[in-house]
Amino acid sequence: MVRHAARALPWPLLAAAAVLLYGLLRTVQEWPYTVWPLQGLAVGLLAGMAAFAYDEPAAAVVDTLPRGLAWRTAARSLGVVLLLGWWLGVVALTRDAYFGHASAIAWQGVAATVSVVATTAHLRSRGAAGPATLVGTVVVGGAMFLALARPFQNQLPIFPYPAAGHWSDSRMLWTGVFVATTVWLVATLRR
Amino acid sequence: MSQSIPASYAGERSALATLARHEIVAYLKHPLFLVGVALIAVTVVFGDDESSSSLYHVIVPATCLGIFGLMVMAGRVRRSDQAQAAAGTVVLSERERTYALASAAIVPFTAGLVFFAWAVWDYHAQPPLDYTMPFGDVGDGWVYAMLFALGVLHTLGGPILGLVVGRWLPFRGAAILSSVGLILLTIFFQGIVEPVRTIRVFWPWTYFGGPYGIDGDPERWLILSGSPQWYCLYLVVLCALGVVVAALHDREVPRAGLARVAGGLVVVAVVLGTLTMLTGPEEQTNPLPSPAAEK
Repeated sequence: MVRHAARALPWPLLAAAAVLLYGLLRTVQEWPYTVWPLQGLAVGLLAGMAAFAYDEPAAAVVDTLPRGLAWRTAARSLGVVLLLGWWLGVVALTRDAYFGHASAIAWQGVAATVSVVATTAHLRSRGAAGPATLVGTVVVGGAMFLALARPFQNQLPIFPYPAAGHWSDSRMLWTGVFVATTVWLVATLRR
Repeated sequence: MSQSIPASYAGERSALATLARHEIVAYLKHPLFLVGVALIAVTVVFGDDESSSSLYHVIVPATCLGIFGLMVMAGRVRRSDQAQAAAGTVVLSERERTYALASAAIVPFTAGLVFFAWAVWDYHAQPPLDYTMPFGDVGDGWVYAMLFALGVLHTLGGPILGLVVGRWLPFRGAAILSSVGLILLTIFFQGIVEPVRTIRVFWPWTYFGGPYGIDGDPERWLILSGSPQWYCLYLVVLCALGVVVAALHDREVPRAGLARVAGGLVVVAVVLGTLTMLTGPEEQTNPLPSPAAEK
């Protein structure tokens, strides 16, 4: 699995995403009130770039081989696990930026990433060789809009503001996303 | 023989125009563009900010048409290259395909103009409160220029930047990384970082005022230095430069003339950027305190 991951994953892309993630969260730490939207954007970037770990340009060939989608998804998840580890580390490093909500921020990233893995695995199982550009664009674009424009922030606290409250609702929302997409992921890979 | 030359030129022009039309229609139908328009429409329907009218809504078209446009255009470049590779024979050069793609930026730009019309109407229908902006000797011309620069010209600049990214950074995920990197750097140059406030106008997106705060009133509204009128011209030149830089990627046609044009545009951009920085109002503080200070 490790050898498969070492050869198949777009490591430079994941490394570039890791550097940007650090830049985003370090900036939030410097000016937490003013640049708070970057926190939501960082969650979107983490999840969106995770999708690129699952693109299989040679899908027409590998889909016919004995190693199934579940095995390949597990192998490719090594890159995503490392990226998530980096995310958790950077959130811990910048924890004083989140007004006591560092664990909620970390959880947003984990849940968003799992939802992207489930979506990408579903699209791969339906025959799409490279769904990452579509998924990544939607996720990063969506996070960008939600973080910068903050529509319906009281009704739908996806990326709550420090002072706005709704943190428990937000955590519940992300937990719902995590549970639903984990079930979806398992169902997709068991097929 | 001599008669066939004009016919050939006419045919090339026609092929470029046909491809440009195709790219415009494709952009118009692109889901991300449609989503962007829908998000702007929702924002407009829900109305302006209670205190600053439509002045801070420029972030919405800049994101939904500009940044989304970067991603749309980078994807269109990829599609164009794939279609050309699949066709096998080269009907149009890469440079001509670049110009056809650039012409599609008219689509988000038109949507940006519609937003601008709403923003100007809203600014007059529900003017900003006195403690926000504009104030003092800063008038409507400053507001119009700021709305046009930040709300409209970026709907053109974002897709053109996508064209540059698509041409020069042709790896998967480049558009996404570029978009996020662009936003990260924009945060630095939007005016909150005091040491770069003066030179911030060289960055292609920056505010000209806002609740940046002063000692004792962290949300006091300021007008930052610089001329949004010159900034509009600066951005137009940057857009032209972007198209030229994207076109320069084609190595199969002579590039010397285009490189000279790029050099000339860089000089013009530096002059306009300097004029933006040195003219316009000085940094000034609204004499009225923000509600946060009164609590």
